[in-house]
Order: sequence, then C-alpha cells, then structure tokens
Amino acid sequence: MGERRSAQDESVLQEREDSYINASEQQFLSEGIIDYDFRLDGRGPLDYRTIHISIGEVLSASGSARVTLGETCVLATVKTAIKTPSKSHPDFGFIEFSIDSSPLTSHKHDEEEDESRSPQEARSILQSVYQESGGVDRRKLCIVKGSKCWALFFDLIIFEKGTSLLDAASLAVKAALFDTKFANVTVVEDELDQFEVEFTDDPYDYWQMDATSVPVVTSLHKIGPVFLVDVTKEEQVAANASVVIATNSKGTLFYQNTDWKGSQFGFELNLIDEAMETACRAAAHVDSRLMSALISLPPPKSWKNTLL
Amino acid sequence: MDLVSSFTGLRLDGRRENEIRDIRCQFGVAKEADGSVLFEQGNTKILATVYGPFDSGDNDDDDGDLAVLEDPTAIECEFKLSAFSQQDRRTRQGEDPRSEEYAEYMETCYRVIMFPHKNASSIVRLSCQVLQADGGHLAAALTAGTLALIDAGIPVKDLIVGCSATVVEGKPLMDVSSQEDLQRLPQITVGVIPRNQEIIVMDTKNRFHKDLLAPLLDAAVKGCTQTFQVIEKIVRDHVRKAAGAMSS
Repeated sequence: MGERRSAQDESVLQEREDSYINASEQQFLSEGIIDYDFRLDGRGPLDYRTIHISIGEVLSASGSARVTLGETCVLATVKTAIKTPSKSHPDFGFIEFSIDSSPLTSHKHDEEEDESRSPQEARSILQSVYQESGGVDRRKLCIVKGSKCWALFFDLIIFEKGTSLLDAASLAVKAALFDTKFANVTVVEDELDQFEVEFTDDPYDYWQMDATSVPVVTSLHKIGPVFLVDVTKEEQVAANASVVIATNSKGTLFYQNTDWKGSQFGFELNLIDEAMETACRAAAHVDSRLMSALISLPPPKSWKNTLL
Repeated sequence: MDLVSSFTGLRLDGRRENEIRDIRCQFGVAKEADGSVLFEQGNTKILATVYGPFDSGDNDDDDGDLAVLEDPTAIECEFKLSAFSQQDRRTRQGEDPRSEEYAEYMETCYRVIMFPHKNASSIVRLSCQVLQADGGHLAAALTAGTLALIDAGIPVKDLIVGCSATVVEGKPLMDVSSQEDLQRLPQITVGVIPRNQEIIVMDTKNRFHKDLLAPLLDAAVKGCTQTFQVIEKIVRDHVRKAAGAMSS
C-alpha cells in the first residue's frame, strides 16, 4: 500500500514538472485572480474571449455554424433525413452526434495529450445534453407518430483544438440548429395504410426550429474560491477543480459533471450551489448574446447564390 | 433533364463544354498549420493543410541512407471526405478505400515536384478535407494540395493541377460537376504538370470504350491548362504578398 502511494506521488510530481507553467507562474496567476479578480489577459472571471460565429457556410448541409472561441475552432453541420421512430418513443425524432478531429489537430505530433477533453468524451456529453436530456425538443421532429420522423445528424469538425472545446462546440451546435432548414413535407397515406412523405421542389419552402431554449454548455474552473469561465491553457493547469454544466435560458439544468482534479482539493459540496449559480449566470449571458447575434445575422452571400 | 441543352449547348450550371468552374482560394486559414488553403472550385470546397517538414525518424536505424533511397517520399497525404459533404450523409467513416487511393495519387504527384534530397530524413504531411463535394474532388484536391505546399514554403519544381472530364453524347465536357458525376458516365481525372503537359496520375471511373480515351484525355489536359492559368496568377500574387510582408 505504502509503495503504491509513493509511486503515485512521484507521478504527480512528474506531471507538475512537465506541465505547461511552473509553480511560481501558477502562484502569480492564482493570486491575481483571488486577490484582484483579474486574469492574465485582463479579463474578469466571467468574461469570455472574443467569440466569432458564422452560419450557413457549408452548402451541402441543411444547417451549419463555425464558432471560434480563443484558439478553439469548431464547425458544426446538420444533415436532416426522414426515418422511422423507435417503438419505445413513437413521437420522438432522432439526434445523433459525431465528432471528427480535423487533420489540423490530428497531425500535431510534438504536443502531449493535454488536459482538455478528448473529442469522443465531448461527443458523449453533447449527445447526453441534446438528445438524452431533451436539450432539443425531439417531439418537434415527429412527422407522423410511430411512422415518420426527422433525424438530425450533427457532424462536428474540430479545426483547432484548444481550451473550452465543449463550450465552443455547444455554441456551434445551437447556431447550426438555428440555421437548419427543414423542408416542408406533405404526408400521403396509401392503400396499405403506409405513410409516404413527399417533398416540394421549392427550395424556399422550409421551416426552422426555434432554438431559443436549446441549452449551451459552460465549463467552469475553480481557482481558489473564484470560478472562471473560458479558461486559457495556463488557467486550466492552475485550476484545482472544474465542473461542466449545461443550462438553457430558462434556467433548466440538462447536464452536470464535476471533474475531480487532484485529490487534495475536491469539489466541496457547498460549492456546488455556487458553481451552478455562476454557470447559469454565465450561460444566460452568453446565450442571450448568441441569440441576438444570430437573429441579426444576414444570410451569407453564398447561400443566396446557390439558390439562384 | 439533358446534361447539355440541345438548344443552347450549355450545361446544367450554365457552362460551355470547355469551361472550368470558378476558382477561389484563401491562404492561411488554419493558423496552427504551416501552410493551408481553402480552395473552392464551383461548389467543391476543400481545406488543404500542410504540416512540416518534420523529422521522419528514419535516421534512427543504422541503415541510414538506405531508407531514404528506397522511399524518397518525404510526403504523406491524407484525403478525407466529410460526412456532410455530399447530398446524402455518409455513414461509414474512416475505412474508405477510395480515399486511400486518392491519397496515394496525391503522394505520387507531389513526389515528382518536390526535391527529395532536400528533404532527406524529413517528412511533410498534407491533408485535404473535403467540406463540400460537388464533383471533381480528386482534381480539386490535387490543385489545392499544390497551393498548400506553396503556402507552407516547401520548395517545388513546378505546379501540379488536376482536372476531370466526362463525355456526354460524344461531346467531352471538362471539369465535372456532381450532377454530371451522378450519371455514371465515362469519367477521367488527371494530375498534370501543365507547363510540359506531363501527366503524372490518371484515374478513370465507370467503363468506356478505348476510343473515348483520347478525347477525354484531351479535354482533361486542356482543363488543366485553364486551371493552371488561374492558379499561376494566384500563386504569383500570394508569393509576392508574402515576400513583401517579409521584407517590410
């Protein structure tokens, strides 16, 4: 037992040595945040880095959005298809996620696997936020109960992998859903009581889903008693706990996951409440900004060109 | 619907038989990569990125130069078709023999224009991610790859460009769009060094009579020449800008 522990301690030490910033840098960073609410790049604890969003860039998809948050860059696309709903949920549509690391991220060789979440973990979190917990109202995807429904395939490409990957991905998912165009369909019943779905030829004949109440994911990192959103790499190393929370504008909680990082600083139970509160506030802020930005966005030029 | 209108002689997208689609590119879109280009030919959109040169690790073995002699590659290519790039979503990802074949074509091409002795025991990684596939992916990928290599500052002897061609009712059409691609007509894609009309790779799709090969090849090579004229101007402008930025 004793031997095992010492081996573990050693590996912890090893990790510290390899880590991105050294101990005194960490201390400088932490003290700035704890004493002055001031981060290395001048942001306050709940400030995001500049977020760039563009929608409708991928013409072959039903909806798409590219989000750049700091150095992280994610492209989310939606493809729609008609499917038969499952027997257990006859009035629910399908939602499926896939995440592909772009060649840009997979070709980095010298960089060690950092502590940001791996794409597959991000995929399962997004799947549980938007599908299992009902982040997207799947009843809206139903066409004929028990027979026909929409299936949404979200394909994400990570162009540049940095910190706050989940936050950026969820913003991209929400924006892509906002952009998604569902063709208006007519349902025809044939002699055998089978339903057939017919599409119109008019590309302008579509409806869009109300994405207002779709949740966004906020990952919080805790340094001392302070919670930070959208951390940089340095702050990620210096943080002693983190929590991932998905909420929507109405304050509904869809997902929560605490990361126990480092055994000596756990996530104290009484801090969960505060973390929630903070995450909801940050999420509400970024969510309202996102929605107002999306509504004011003009349709991209290329979008018009293809339909002409 | 006819692929070529019998009244006007125009194709579905309004082009003539011997016209290529518009080419647009944007350099340096991926900040992390050593070289990158977002290449658009009509609605086909490809993101090509270059990383390297890296140490290939070949010198770790004691056989030293032998490895270099055997395989003066110095380049490794990847061709990826995004799930959302086509009309129907591709469900199976990763294991696509077609993509691997395309990657090999690209390697063959760039091996010809690179200087192997300058890149001894080093390796360049090039990957093409197809974001929108609207016909002529391989052709566009070959052209985009050349541009990405140039953006990365990898020395090359000449430019490789690609072009596809098909034949409709005896008339060869250059630069195939997806509507024409869907008809399962005879199709050919070539990777060419246009300055000396040297064909480096050639890929045929769907069966056709051998007599059709000559007109198809002719159309594809002519398409390459047209592409080259556009690309050469783009490259010269880009290099001039890059050199200007360096000196100032």
